[in-house]
Formats: sequence, structure tokens, C-alpha cells
Amino acid sequence: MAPANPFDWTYLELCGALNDISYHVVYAVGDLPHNLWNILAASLGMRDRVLAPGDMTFHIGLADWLFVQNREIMVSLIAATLLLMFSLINVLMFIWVERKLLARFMDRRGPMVAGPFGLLQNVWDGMKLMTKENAHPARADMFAFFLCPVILVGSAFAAAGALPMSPKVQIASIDLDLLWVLMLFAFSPYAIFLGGWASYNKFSLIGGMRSAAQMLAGEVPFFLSVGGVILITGSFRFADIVAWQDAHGWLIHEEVSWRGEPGHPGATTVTLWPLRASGIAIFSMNIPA
Amino acid sequence: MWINIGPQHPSTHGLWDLRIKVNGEVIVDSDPQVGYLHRSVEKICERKEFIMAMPMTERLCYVANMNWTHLYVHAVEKLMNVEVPDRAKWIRVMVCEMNRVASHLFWLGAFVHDIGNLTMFLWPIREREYVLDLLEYITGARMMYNYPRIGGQVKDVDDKFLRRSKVVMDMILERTFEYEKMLDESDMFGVRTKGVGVIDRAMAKNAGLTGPALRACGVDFDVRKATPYWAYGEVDFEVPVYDEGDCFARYRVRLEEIRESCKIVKQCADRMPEGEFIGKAPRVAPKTYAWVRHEDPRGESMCFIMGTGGKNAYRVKFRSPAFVNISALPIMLLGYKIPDVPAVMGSIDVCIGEVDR
Amino acid sequence: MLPPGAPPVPVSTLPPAPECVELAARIEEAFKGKVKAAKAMNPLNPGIQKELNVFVDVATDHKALPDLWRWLRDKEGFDHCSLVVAIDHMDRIEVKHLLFSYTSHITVETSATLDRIDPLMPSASLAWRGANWLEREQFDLMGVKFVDHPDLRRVLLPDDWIGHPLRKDYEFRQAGEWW
Repeated sequence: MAPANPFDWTYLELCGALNDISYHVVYAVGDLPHNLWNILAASLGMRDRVLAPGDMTFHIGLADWLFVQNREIMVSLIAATLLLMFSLINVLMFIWVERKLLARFMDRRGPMVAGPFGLLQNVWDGMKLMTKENAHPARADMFAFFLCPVILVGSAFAAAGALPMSPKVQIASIDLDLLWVLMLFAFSPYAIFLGGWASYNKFSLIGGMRSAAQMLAGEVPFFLSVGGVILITGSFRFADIVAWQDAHGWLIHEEVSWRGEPGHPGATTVTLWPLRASGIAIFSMNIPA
Repeated sequence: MWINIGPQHPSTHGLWDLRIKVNGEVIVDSDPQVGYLHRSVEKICERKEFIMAMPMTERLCYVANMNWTHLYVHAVEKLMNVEVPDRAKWIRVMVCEMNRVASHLFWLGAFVHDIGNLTMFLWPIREREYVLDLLEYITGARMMYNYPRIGGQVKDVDDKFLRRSKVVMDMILERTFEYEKMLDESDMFGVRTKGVGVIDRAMAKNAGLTGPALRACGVDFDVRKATPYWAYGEVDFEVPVYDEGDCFARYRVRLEEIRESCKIVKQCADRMPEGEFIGKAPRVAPKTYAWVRHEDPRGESMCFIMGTGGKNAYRVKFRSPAFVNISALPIMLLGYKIPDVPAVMGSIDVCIGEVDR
Repeated sequence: MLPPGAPPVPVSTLPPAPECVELAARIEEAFKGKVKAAKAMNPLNPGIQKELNVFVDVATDHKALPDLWRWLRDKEGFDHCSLVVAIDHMDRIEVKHLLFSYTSHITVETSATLDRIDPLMPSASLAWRGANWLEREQFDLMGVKFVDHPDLRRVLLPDDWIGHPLRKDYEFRQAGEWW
């Protein structure tokens, strides 16, 4: 029925597994939902809906309603959860790595001593960010001002949707995956400029223009190195690129410098350039334009 | 278009306003506005007795306190013709040089922080903490030391301090080579500081620029060598002089001055003479005037003091090197772009406490 | 207070250095009659190993000052204007300019006496740009007006301040101060 390796499951098999798990969870929890349902039905005066003890029709009906009849909605919910989890944990891990490296370079104490491997530092940073005040200029255009980070983060998370989670499961994959992701990256300069424009302040405007110029200038090397991938694998789809690498060996060994030396400049660029777009000071990011 | 950089701005290192006239991105004129921190120290010093006015001078340049308090006390001693014992002279040299090291380290951190190099901000500050710990050991305070008195020092230094200071200065001397490697081999730092904020020799001398900024233009003038005071005539050190006159030369001069000051402190610790650390001083000053010239970490600082025959001063005037260096800033900014402003402002080493008094 | 023309004391009994004596003689010769006194001093120096001072008193005859300054800068190599200080004796204002030579390490102190009600004097900022802000500060705090100063405005106090605080008869909380 379902393939043995979970990485070969489709959404159908995934939903089936969740159905089984929920059945077992309900059985383990036992009488509680049964009693709650009985209290609800009795208080509303619906005597014919009250269940006898040991009667599981309600729970099976609920699971059936969720996972079989409304399959599409559950699939979308699972996809959205996977996407958010992947993106957020990715962000956490990148921040943790950056903090650890900076702590070693700059002789900082926090990430070296807080928690095992400095992981609690992330927790404290998150809590600190949550408790900060949402300040804004008095005469700024509120909608556009708060839209700027929404576009930035939203486009980055949406780009994570094009990544293949397994050979059968892709959240939002199309024939022109790579083009779709590059288009999402192209939103960043626009969003930053929008934020600068929306604050009622000529210094913010100048700053927004300069940041947007830096982002735009950074797109060219990135697109060039991605172009190498497209030409070699012959396809824009991520699944096809992965399949090509499965068959022919990893592209990181193929990317060479223009003199033919295995310098991996393209691979380095493609891996680290999105970090530059998020403001980390590599590849001349912090140099004022 | 006139743009204000300040008065509240993270890279001005103090409360002052640099108004620049820009044509697009290029600076065509500038007009620094100081005085936000004016506390009328000179007027207050006229109302207080000499030693009571000494804590006022501490707050003049709060990063290099020892140099300013000792300057004032030296001027009062010259006015009253008080002889200071040898041990006090050597202690003064040692402590002033340690404060010069601390001030230059702090300057280095703030300067490269503005350029964008955050790692090099934390390393000198960490070194400065060791120096501040040493000074806290003898004076009890990290910043407002209140250490000199008319005729000497308030407390003696002991052997533990001398031993520890040698260890700390050795460590700082080693680490300046790390800073050098980090910054000299950095292309980014070079692009932002080499050839930026150039001032030529004749203009620098005429504009009253003194201190490391002048030595970076090729003029070999250091008050400690020209008119030596206390024990500077007997201590062996060199004065670094560079020729280019840009921000990078000013940074190199100060980095090498840190090394020279470390050597001076080690020599003082070895050669500290025994004896009294304070001499007798009268309470009233004669009806005359005197002035004294010192080498502050920022340049040539002077204190002019006139006595009345009573316990107060009649007129006190401090010549602050940063005040005159800021007045030379418009010359250095002409023709450069807005992003060069933090680099040039930082390389002048401004401490607004002494500019505004 | 100090009578006009008083030299800087305390003065040592040792004779002053020969280069100071020669410089004082050259000043006397070049500005005969225009300068009231030019003396080489050897002040008592507790703690200073080497100090070369020459004191030049111009008193109220200020016309000689710009020529003197330019002569010192061009002929004698005094490149640096160290200090400008104005002192309010109750009956007059005395302004000192301290000039320094990087080559010979001599400090020349020129002293001018000004009328207290309308203190005017020529500006050294035409000879040394470094004196520009120093003179602005003395205008700001003491009220000394330097004729032909290129930019005589207040530097430390706000631009609309009334009065000159370092004068001895400055009253605190006088009209014009609002805090």
C-alpha cells in the first residue's frame, strides 16, 4: 500500500498516517472527548445525539470529515505548517550560527555560555524582540510603513515553498521554479524603498534609496551564478535540478572559475548571497553606497 | 543644501553639530557648531579654591582625565612655584601615559566602529578595561580619578601596581600587532581611509592643528620632546611621524603612539624612584600668571592661570586641542563625499567635554 | 590687580637663554618705537626642563600688531598660534596671543591693553587660521571685538545670548536669560 520509505510518500499517504495517529491519540486520551460531547449534547437538549459509552462513531466521523472529505484543506494546512516550520527553524539556525561565530571573533560572552551550545541565546533574543515597542514616525503612512517588513519576510518565506521536501512532496512547485524564486528576491529593493518613502522623513528616504541601490547592485552576481545552474541542468524546476544532480553528481563540483580552476565561486555565491540580502555584512554590504 | 550631522548622531562621538553644505553627495563647505556641552568651567574655577576646582577639570575631557587634571595642577604649581618630588613626577608620567593608552584605545574602537568594523570596536575596549582596572586599583575610580594634588599625588603607588602594569602593557603591546594586521591588510578599511580627509603640511601648521593629526602631516612636533616636563626628558621613546596627512596616517600615528606609551609605562615602572609622593604647597597664589603646555592625547593642551593673592584664581583659560582641530575640519572635508564624514570626524579624535568646557 | 605692562613672573634669577635674548633684540630693532617692550624671560619652572619665552608688550598701540604678527610668521618662523586669552582687569581688558615656533621652540607672548567699554583690536586670524576659533571664543565669552576677523560670531554660547559671561561684572539671571 504505502511505500516503506516515508520520503516516498505523497500527501495522500501523509494524511492517512495522520489519520491513524489521531485515532490512536483519541483512543489514548480516552473518555474526555466522549464526556465533553455528552455534556454538550445533554445541555442543548439533543437526547438522540448522546453517545453510549464505548461508542466511537463521533471520533471516527470527525477524522473522516477532516482527512477524507476535506482532504484539500488539510493538505493545504499541512503544507503551510511545513513551510513555516522549515523557514522559521532555518532562520533560527542561521542566527545561531552567526551569533556563535561573531561571539568567537568579537570575544562576546552570551552565545558561548547561555545554554547548551549557546542555544538559549536564541530564546532570549526572540523574547527581547517580542517585548520591543513598535515605534513609527508620527506622520508616516501606517499601511505602507508596516507593509515593508511584511513584503520582505513574506517573499522570503514564499520562496521556501518552492523547495522540494521529498521527491513526491513539493509545496508550491511549478515548471519555472527558479524564475519564481528570483522574482521573489526581486521584491526586496522595492520593499525597502517603500519603507523609506512611507516614513515622513527625508533622511529615511535617502537611506531607503541607498539600501535599495545596494540590494539591486547585489542581484547581478547572484543571477549570473544561478544562470550557470540553469545552463548546465537544462531546466528551471527544482525537482529536475535535484534529479540531474542525483544522476550526474553534485553541481558544486562542476562550478569552476573562468580559468577552469575548481574555485567554486558560483557555489559560494549562490549559498551566501541571500545572507547578504538579509543585511549581514559580507560581499561589501555595509559599505555605504 | 545644508545638512546637519548631529547634534544627536551616533558617529559624532559627542554632542556637537556638523553642518555641511552638499552639492548632491559632494561637500562644498562646512560649519561646525559646538557649545552644546558648555558648562562655563572657566568661570566656575574662578569661584573655587585651587584644589576644589580640580574635579572640574576632570570633566573637561572625560576620556583622558589624568592628562587634564595634571595639566591644571601643574599650572597652579608653576604659579605658586611649588617643587614636586621626583617620585611624584615619575608617577605622573606613568599615570598620564596609561591614560593616553586608554584614550587612544577608546578612540580606535570608536573610529573603526564608524567605518563598519565591529570586531575592532570590541578588542580595544577589552584592552582598555585592563588599564581601567589598574587605575581603579590605585585611585578607586574607573574614570573620574581625582588623583593629583597641588605638590604631588593624593596616594602612593605600590609594587603590586608596578608589576601588574608591566604585565598589562606587555599584553597591550602584543595586541597592537593584531590590530595592525586586522586593519592594514583590510581592503575595505584602506579604501575608506587612505586618501580621505587629506590636509597638507603648511595648511595644517597654519590652522593650529596639533597632536597626532599634525604628526600625520609630516611635522615632527611633540610637546614631550620640545619642552619636556616632569620626567619626560629622562624617558626613552620615539615620536611617530607620517607624511600623507590622511585618515590612515592619523590612525597609524595613534597606533604607534600606543606602543610608545606602553614602553614609557614599563620604563617608569622599572625606574620609579623612592621618596615622597607629595610636597608642601601654599594655599594662596601670588598676584601673577603662568601657563603650562602639555601633550594631551588629542594635541597640545595649555592651561593659563592668573592668581589674585588669595585662595582663588582670577582667570583660568584652557586651550583645548580638539577645539582647534574641529576648526580645521572644514579644510579636511572640502571636496569629499558624505560617507567620508564619519571617517574624517573620527580620525580627528574629538572629545566634546574639552571642546565646550 | 597686575599693573599694566607687568611681565610674567615668577622669574628665575638665572639669565634667559641666548636665542630668546637675540629674538627680543631683533623685535626691538624691527619695531622700534611701535612696541613698548620686548623682553626675554626665564620663568621659574618647577617640573619643566626647557622653556623659552619672549614677552612683547604693545599696550594700547595696536597698529603695530598685524605687522608684528606677519613678521614673526614669515621672517622668524612662528607657524603656530597656541593661545588667545583675554583677561578682565576691572579697569581694562588685556589680550594675550601666544605664538610658537616649531623649529626654535620659542614662545612669544604679545600682550595688548584694551579699553573696557569698547574693546577693539586687530585679529591674528589673518596671519594664522588657528587663531580664528580662539578669537571667536574670546569674543563670545569676554566681548573683545577683533577687527577684520572674517567670521566673528558666538561659538560656545547660543547665537542669541546677551552679555559676555566671563566679565567680572556679569550678573547671573540678567535680562535676556530665560532659564
